[in-house]
Order: sequence, then C-alpha cells, then structure tokens
Amino acid sequence: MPTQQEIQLLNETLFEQLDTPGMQKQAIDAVNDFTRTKMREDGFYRRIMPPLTITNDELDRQVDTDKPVKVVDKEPDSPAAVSIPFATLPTNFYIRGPRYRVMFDRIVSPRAVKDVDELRTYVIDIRQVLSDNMIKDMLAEEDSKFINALDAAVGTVDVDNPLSGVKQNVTISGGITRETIVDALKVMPQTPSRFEVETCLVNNITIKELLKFGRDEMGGDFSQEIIKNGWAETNFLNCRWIVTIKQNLVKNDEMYMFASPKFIGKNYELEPTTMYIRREAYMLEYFAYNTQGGSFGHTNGLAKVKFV
Amino acid sequence: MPAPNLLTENGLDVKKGWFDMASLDYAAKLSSTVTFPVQRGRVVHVNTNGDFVPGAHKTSPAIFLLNGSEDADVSNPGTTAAGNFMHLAVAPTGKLSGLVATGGYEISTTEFVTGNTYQPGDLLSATRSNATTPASTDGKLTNYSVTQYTTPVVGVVSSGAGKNHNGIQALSFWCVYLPGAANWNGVQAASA
Repeated sequence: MPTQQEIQLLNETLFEQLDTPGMQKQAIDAVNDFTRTKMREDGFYRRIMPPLTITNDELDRQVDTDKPVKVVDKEPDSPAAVSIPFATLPTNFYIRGPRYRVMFDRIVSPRAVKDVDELRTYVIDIRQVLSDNMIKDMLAEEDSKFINALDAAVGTVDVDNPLSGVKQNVTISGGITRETIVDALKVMPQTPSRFEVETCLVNNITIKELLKFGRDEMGGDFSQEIIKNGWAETNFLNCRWIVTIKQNLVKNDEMYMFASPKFIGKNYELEPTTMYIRREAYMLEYFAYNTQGGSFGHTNGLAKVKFV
Repeated sequence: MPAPNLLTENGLDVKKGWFDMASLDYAAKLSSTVTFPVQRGRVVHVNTNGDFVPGAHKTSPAIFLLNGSEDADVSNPGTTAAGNFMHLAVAPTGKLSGLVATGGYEISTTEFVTGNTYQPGDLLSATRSNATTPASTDGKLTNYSVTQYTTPVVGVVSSGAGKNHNGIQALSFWCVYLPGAANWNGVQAASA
C-alpha cells in the first residue's frame, strides 16, 4: 500500500508526463501497466476462455468486408469404425473439415473529462481512480456478452438442446447439497462429446451454501477449515471454481459449467486494453478501449444448472 | 453460393462534420421486428424499446447507419441456411451505430431512391412502407411528397445526386431533423 506521499508523487509524475510534449506515451503506459493486471484478475470471461493475442498477419482477409475476421478450423467428425468379414473393403468418406468465423468488435469505456486543476486536489492514487472506473465498465460489458452467448448456447431450461440432443440447462431440486452438486456435474458428460467439467462459475451468494456443508458432506477437516476461514478453495470436486460478485449476470443458485477452453471456442484479443489520455490546455480527457472477438465453436462443453 | 457484395456498394461518406471525438453518434441493436438485412447508409430511428427500426419517425430523430446489420463488426451468424450449427458468437453483439440527424454533417449516401430528381434545397425524408411492420425497402432517402411540418424531414439536399468516386450513385445532403405532424400516418412513399 503506497503512502500518501508516494501517491502524491505518482500523481505529480503523471501530470509532468502529460505536461511534457512527447511524454504522453509514457503517461499512457503508466496507466496501462495497471489496467492489464486488473483485467486479468477480475473478468471471469477471461479466466474461463483466456484471450489469445492475434496479430494482423493472423487475420483472414475477406472479399466482402474490410473488418477483421479470423477463420478457425474445427475438428471434423468421422464415420464410426465397423466390423466386416474378410475380403470386404472399407467405405469411403471424403475429408471435409468444418470451419467457423470469429469476428471482432470494440469495447470502449465512457470518456471522462475533467479540469486538471480540480484533479490536483485529490490525495488518492489518481492513476487507480482513472483506470478503475473504466475497467469496471469494460469488464461488466465483456462478461455480459459472454453470459448472453452462454445462455443462448445451453438452450431452454429443462428442454433437450437441439445440438446435443440432451439437456444442458437443467433444474435440480433439493437445494445445494453434495448430492445435487454431483448431479450437476453429470449434466455435461451426458452430451455426445462426453466432456468433463473443468470449471464451475457461481456467484458469491451461491458459494456460501457450500459453507453449510458438514463434516460428513465436505469431508473431514476441510469442513472445519472453511467454517473457520471461509471459502478459499479454487479447486473442489476436481473442478476449478470461479466466484463472481456479478450477481446480475450469474444469478443466485445458478451454476455454469465449462469444459476445457480448447473444447469450447476462441477468444481473440486484437487490441489489448488501452488507455487513451489527452490533455488540451487545462482539460483532461481519458477513456479505455480494446478490440476482441469470440465464438463458441462447439457447445457441448457448456452447461448450466439451477438449484431449487 | 451467393454472390459477394462489393465493399463500396452500400454506405455513406461523411463529407463534413465527422469524425471528431465530439461527433454525435448512437449505437443500438436492430428491433426484432426487422428480419431482413439493413444496409449501411439506411435511415433508422429509435423505437420505444430503444432499438433501431428503418425509416423516418415523426418524433424520433433520424439516424444514418455507419454499419450494416450484416457487417462483420455487427453480427456473426453461426447457423447455416439449412439450420445447422456452425458456431455461436460471443462478439459482436448485433449493435449498429450511426450519425444522428441533429448533428452537423454533410453526408453522401448510396441509400436513396434513385428514380427521383433531386435539386439542392429539396427536403428529404426516409421511406417507410407501413407504420408498424418494417419492410426491406424502408430507410431510403426520398424527396417525394415531403411536406414541411407534416412529414418528418431528415435532411436537405446539398449538391445533389450522382456517381461517387466508387462509381455508385450517391446523394449528398445536409442532415437535419424536423419532426412530422402529430397526425402523420407513418408512411413515406419512395416515389409516385
């Protein structure tokens, strides 16, 4: 935790960089260092489907658009092997690998404007104030897009998913118990892909139900540990657990489940989160932006349950 | 295989007034009632749900689309024409953006009724075939039967119509927004 003197020194440094011609880049870099760290820590979309940096050379040019597009190959299905008697030849199949397109859009924070003389009176770390508000907005948008697509992918609650032929959005009765959580983990492996759950996503209210587990449910001293120190586990039931405070996106008593990212799709980052800062006379303006594209190439590695 | 479109076939060039950080633009999704592709340059308005609908509106300002609904930064459909799954996009989310007619712009657009004759100073509105159900021809600029204080006016012709630098017919105009009369019936024909 920096001291107040250190914070003021940081603020003065930022202002000096903004004041000096040609030094705005350094001021932007100073903020960007912090920005990227927070983004990695906070967005659950990025933790579930880590962004892959993509460069201009890796984009696939299209005839009918100059917007960035990336074409991704998908594992092809193949006919099953069969048993045959002797002197019989195999059937043929022509190799055709399916593909899908990932397209990109931009997430931009609101642009803030402020008279610099008013900023001088702050004694907090001005870099943190500048970037925190921007990043919160951007993370909310990024995660919101992910959850919207996810809800579309898992399909209607308690109805067979038309792609997998089995339910991927299931209501489980009995509240949150050891039995119902294990039942939840059975949803995804029942798809034709037989994926196992690698990551579970719940909100910070739902996870507290697990604190109620007794020694007989949780398993020995682990129950004692979480009743003393709270939930600090990231691995439980052979899954990685991600707990979010975004209760508007991940509702109470709901749990999303994910297979390994390689079975789900792609999340590309074309332009990493960048903070634009400009000072014109005594007015300061700043906003953050990034360019990302993502698609689920396969939806059998996604599932959702609602505990009732 | 459907024939591809040229990048330059539909769209608008903003001759004056854009871009600048202070430019007035607006982004929203298309209304779910719009089931056809909407081209770059078309005129839309914001409905009561906050979504874009092609055509002029008597009180909702016109917006000139910078993106088409099938642009790669707007939509990434992942279901084939036969209904088979290809992918499901996380991004883009279907939002289009456009310039609001109350901003100060001179625009050259390909999305206008080409059969009409346009003179500098002509008032422009945008086609709308039905007050409630959008049609694929809605949202094109026209000067046909545009009456001041009756029809919603979305622009005034500047230099007029002609082929642009891409060889595509385009109409140059200044955008403006003059609401229509309270009793305007919501229909704007393209031509006689």
